[in-house]
Amino acid sequence: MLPLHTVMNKLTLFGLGIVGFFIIIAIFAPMIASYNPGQIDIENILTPPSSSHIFGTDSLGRDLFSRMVYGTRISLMVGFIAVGIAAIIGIALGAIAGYYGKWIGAVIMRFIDIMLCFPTFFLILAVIALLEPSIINIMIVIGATSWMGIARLIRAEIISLKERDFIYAERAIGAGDLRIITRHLIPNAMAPVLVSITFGIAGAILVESSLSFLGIGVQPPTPSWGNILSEGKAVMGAGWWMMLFPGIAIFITVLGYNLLGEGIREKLLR
Amino acid sequence: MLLQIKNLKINYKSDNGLLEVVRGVDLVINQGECVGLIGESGCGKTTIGLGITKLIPERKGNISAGEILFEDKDILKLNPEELRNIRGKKISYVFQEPFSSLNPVFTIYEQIKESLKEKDDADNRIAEILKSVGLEKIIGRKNVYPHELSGGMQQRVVIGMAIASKPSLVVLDEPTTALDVTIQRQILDLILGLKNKMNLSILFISHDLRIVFNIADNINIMYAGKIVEAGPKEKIISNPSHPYTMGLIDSIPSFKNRKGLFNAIEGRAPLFSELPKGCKFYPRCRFRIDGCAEKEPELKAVSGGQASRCIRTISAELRSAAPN
Amino acid sequence: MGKYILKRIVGLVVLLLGITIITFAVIHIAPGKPTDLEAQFNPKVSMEARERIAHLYGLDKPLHVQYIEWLKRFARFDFGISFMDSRPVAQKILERIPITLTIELVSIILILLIGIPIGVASAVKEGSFYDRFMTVFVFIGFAVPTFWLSLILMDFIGVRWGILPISGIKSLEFEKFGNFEKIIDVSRHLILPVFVSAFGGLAGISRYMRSSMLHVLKQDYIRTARAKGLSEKEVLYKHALKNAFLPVVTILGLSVPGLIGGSVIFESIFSIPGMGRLFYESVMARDYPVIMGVLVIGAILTLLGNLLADISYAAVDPRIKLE
Repeated sequence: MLPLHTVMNKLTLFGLGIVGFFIIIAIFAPMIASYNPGQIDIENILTPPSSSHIFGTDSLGRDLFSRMVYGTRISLMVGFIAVGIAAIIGIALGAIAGYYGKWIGAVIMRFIDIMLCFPTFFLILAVIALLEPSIINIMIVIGATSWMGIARLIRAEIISLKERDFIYAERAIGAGDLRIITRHLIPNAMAPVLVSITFGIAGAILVESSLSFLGIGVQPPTPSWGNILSEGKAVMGAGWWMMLFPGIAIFITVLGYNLLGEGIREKLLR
Repeated sequence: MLLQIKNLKINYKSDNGLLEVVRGVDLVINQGECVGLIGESGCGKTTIGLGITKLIPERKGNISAGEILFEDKDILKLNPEELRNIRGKKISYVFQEPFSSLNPVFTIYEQIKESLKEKDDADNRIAEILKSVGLEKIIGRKNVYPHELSGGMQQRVVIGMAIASKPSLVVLDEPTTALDVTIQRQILDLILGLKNKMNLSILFISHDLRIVFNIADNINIMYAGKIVEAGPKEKIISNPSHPYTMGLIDSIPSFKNRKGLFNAIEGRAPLFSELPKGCKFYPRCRFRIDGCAEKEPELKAVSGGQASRCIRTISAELRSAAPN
Repeated sequence: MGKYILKRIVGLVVLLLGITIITFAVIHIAPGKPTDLEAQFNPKVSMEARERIAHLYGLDKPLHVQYIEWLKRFARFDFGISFMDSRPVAQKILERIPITLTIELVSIILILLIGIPIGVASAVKEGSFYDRFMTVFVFIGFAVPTFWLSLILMDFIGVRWGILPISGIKSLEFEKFGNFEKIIDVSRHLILPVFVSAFGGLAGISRYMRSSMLHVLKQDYIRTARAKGLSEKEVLYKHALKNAFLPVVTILGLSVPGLIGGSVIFESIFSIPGMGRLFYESVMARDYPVIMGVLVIGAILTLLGNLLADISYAAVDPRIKLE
């Protein structure tokens, strides 16, 4: 049998494959979906998977497969943008804290500590429900509550990098702080952050689907894997396909990003 | 003869597959003797030390051939329980880094106690051990942890653990290399003192010639996985036979001979994955002749218990005539 | 040790202040005044009446004054009155905490009891079939969404096969049970929620334990232990395990907020009357006093969890100097 590290490499490629697969589906959604995801068909309510509807239909007769294909767009979009926001906030605050240190660094670190005290999901729930649950709000809120880990990582890396010779050399030729931070320190500090970002996308997708499941995420009729599952709960027993397929989709996507993230981490550790 | 190693061969696992790192080594340690094993880093000497009681982890390598005779038995053929009876009790070890050799979450007291064969009257016996290694200060203090001691004191503890069960053989692998120079002397004196007092046999592994010359009775010099010269200390110092030994001795900087440049041996030791055909020292040897590259020489007796793995017999005049 | 705890508590006060500030800020993100919802359902309420209500709640005062008032009441454990049913918030929370805490505690115990041995065994048998299998299993555990897992368990174990109850914490005939039967009944109701709660955490801990153990096994003092002739059991379970376990303690403390946050989902699905469900209901109903109360209490619980983890770590690792 294969040694463990080879198995891990295969798994990483598998993860990459999954990630790529869903990205392609999201991009080419209109061509892949056989029906209009919003098309209601009263005569075919809650039909099990068949040759005309490969994943069956929901309680309004809409084709589940097409809805799920479009749901891919939502999930990936929320995942990428939310983590993008988290990364921007985290890198900015972490870099400032790490480079300038002292007073401002201490304040930022305390802020991070405070934010980390809250069960994140509670915060997200509260803010989303108090604002209105639009996709943009979801992305912003998830981003605004998941930047803390990245900030800590960046700060740690920058603290160790800023005393290195190449930084002194830059200062010696007159480079300003902003230039040093953005062009030299941050790029060199990104490695562990990439791992964090990959896992973060998986996490964001899970949060979005949880929110949609609870009814305060993506609102119907826009299809999201989470709100399809919520419908699945309502029709439990009468429509197993409503519960199975979206769940599998979320599971595989998250698995893909986790495998990819783990693979990147192994590569970095060498 | 206390310990006899016969034709020991050890492989290491690497990215390029299995590499033979110890390629057929013979070694003898007699009762009450201090045997030195000298070589550069990576020549296989630590591996031999670990191999004596099969301490090489499976995932790192394995012993492929040879016998290690101790107390009329071949250690390599013992079952795990018999092996455990030898380790720490009849053959014990002192490694290079004292701090990492000690478990940080257990007290010194507990760790020394673990080395005792019988745990009765532990307090007194531990106190005795501490006294014999010069650590009277911590007798009776049961809550001392490794990180509270200096490097020298930590090494004394490790030595204390090694002699706790009154072993016949102690293997020391670079025991002073990680310590300050001033402390090195103290530890070496301690080792010598214990050897004489307890009639220990010692296998002293090091890359530092001066230390080994100081402390050992018999010396073995290793290069590229094989012994290239062996013999009594006085003979080897005064009349080295193998070009590698000569090079090592010449390269010791001496306070008296400050004539400018050091006499380093040219080149570097070969990788085990790229061993040259014939004599392994050939590329760096200043006495080489054509015949050297064809076949690896056997270990050949020179005189008075000395042996050398060289096809030439290099006389003293030849030696001083050769270009540096 | 005492000084250390004291110093930590001082640091906690700073954190607590920060928590209250953030909580307060979160509530006031929402557009409109908190009383709008109340007044909305009754169109007969005049402008005057609305202003009276606003004045009653102190909502017409500047924000920082409102904050201080709220903080003062909070410090006296007066969390205000719930909008939904006019009961004191503190009472509502107190009713719900025990259940959520029980589930969390049992989850943590399960995670420890199962996750640690799995991690240790994976490390000791590195590269074996067992290790590979467990790696795959762990990844699956990470990726399964809790609400999906809950649904599937509910469907199969609850609805189709009827093995375990899936709703609430008591059966209908609870009052008629003897004491022992009552305990069994509650336990049966809690099995699925605890399982779901522990599932993801188990994956995490076993993975972390594995890598910690692998790291420890490469250390020199393990070689020394073997060279001393100790049995493999002693080497692994005495020398290696204690060292490997240390960082895991910290991770446990850090997983508390995740467990609490996750309670929202499975408590809602399994209709458990716990803090998570209370939070969800109050969020949906815009019941601000309850929302604030639960947010702060949740954060405090997390703080306590972290403090406990830090103290345990310091108590176990002799290298940490407690001053």
